[in-house]
Amino acid sequence: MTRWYVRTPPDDLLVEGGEAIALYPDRFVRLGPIGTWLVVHTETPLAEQTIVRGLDEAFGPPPGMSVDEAAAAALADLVAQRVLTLSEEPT
Amino acid sequence: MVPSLRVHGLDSSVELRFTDPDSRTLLEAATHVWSRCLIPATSSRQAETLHVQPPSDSFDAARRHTLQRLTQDVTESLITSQAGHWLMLHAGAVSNPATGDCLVFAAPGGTGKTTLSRHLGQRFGYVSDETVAIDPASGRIHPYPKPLSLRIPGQAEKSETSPDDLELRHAAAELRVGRIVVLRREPDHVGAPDLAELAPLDAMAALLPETSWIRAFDEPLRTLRRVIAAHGPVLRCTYREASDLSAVAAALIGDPS
Repeated sequence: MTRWYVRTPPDDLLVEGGEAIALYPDRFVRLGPIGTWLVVHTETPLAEQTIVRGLDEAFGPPPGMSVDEAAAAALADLVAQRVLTLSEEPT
Repeated sequence: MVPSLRVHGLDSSVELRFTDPDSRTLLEAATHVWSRCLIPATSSRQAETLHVQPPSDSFDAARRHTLQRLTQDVTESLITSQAGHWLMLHAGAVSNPATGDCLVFAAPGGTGKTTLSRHLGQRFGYVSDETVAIDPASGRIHPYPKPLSLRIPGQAEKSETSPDDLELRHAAAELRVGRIVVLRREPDHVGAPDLAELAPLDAMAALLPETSWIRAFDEPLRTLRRVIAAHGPVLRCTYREASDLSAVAAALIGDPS
């Protein structure tokens, strides 16, 4: 079953040089290149397979693991930080 | 007429009302320790009036506690009155008395800002040991030369002390950001202070926790970014003793002598 992800709407988002800071009501999160790509592309829900393809195109294969594994790790990390949330499939 | 005191700072002011008949001694003490903030000044904002209660008893500890609490309340009131107007950093600052260029040193509470302000204030103009208000458009700084909260060995309460009693130098009339430094005090640091330039987003990540009411701006992150762009790069300064930073301050904002 496909998982869909959408970003938690930040109060403010500043993207600079491929990296970003996202400001939330109770905290801020400093995002590296992959986190920034994910936040920028999940304003509306995005399927996990689309995310994997997008990360592969943007960054190429990561060293020492598959793109799927790297994407899963990045998504889990951002969900844990409440930057992304799992979403219903859009209708 | 209710005895009162108007305290100025951060381009705002707050009236302190001492309504209790037992507050006379407290009023005198407050007048003394707030000496640098009683000079009438034109302010863009006015904070809500504070009604000051006298200490619970006549012991020194209770009086010190009341004055310490008053400092916290005044600071909070002034900061709140400037929400969304000026960029406010939890930082100390000193200035070159001739040029008005300020060294702004941001750090969490309890990590050495007051000690550093007290030390550098012997040589540079004392601006604040607690909060700095910056006009994001021009870099102008609005001073807040509040009493310094000094630790007394063996006492739980800090002692509010006038910068005049400590003979700290006065700041220039017009102040602006010279350089912003993020302090990191490390007791085990060896040698001269270590200065490292922070990339803009790293600087923002270091400064965001030390801002007050940043979300009150329409564009909070861009507001902070503009200040960093205009006055950067922000430096991270790792040091051991406040006395190690006098030469650093002179190098960054000019030697006042």
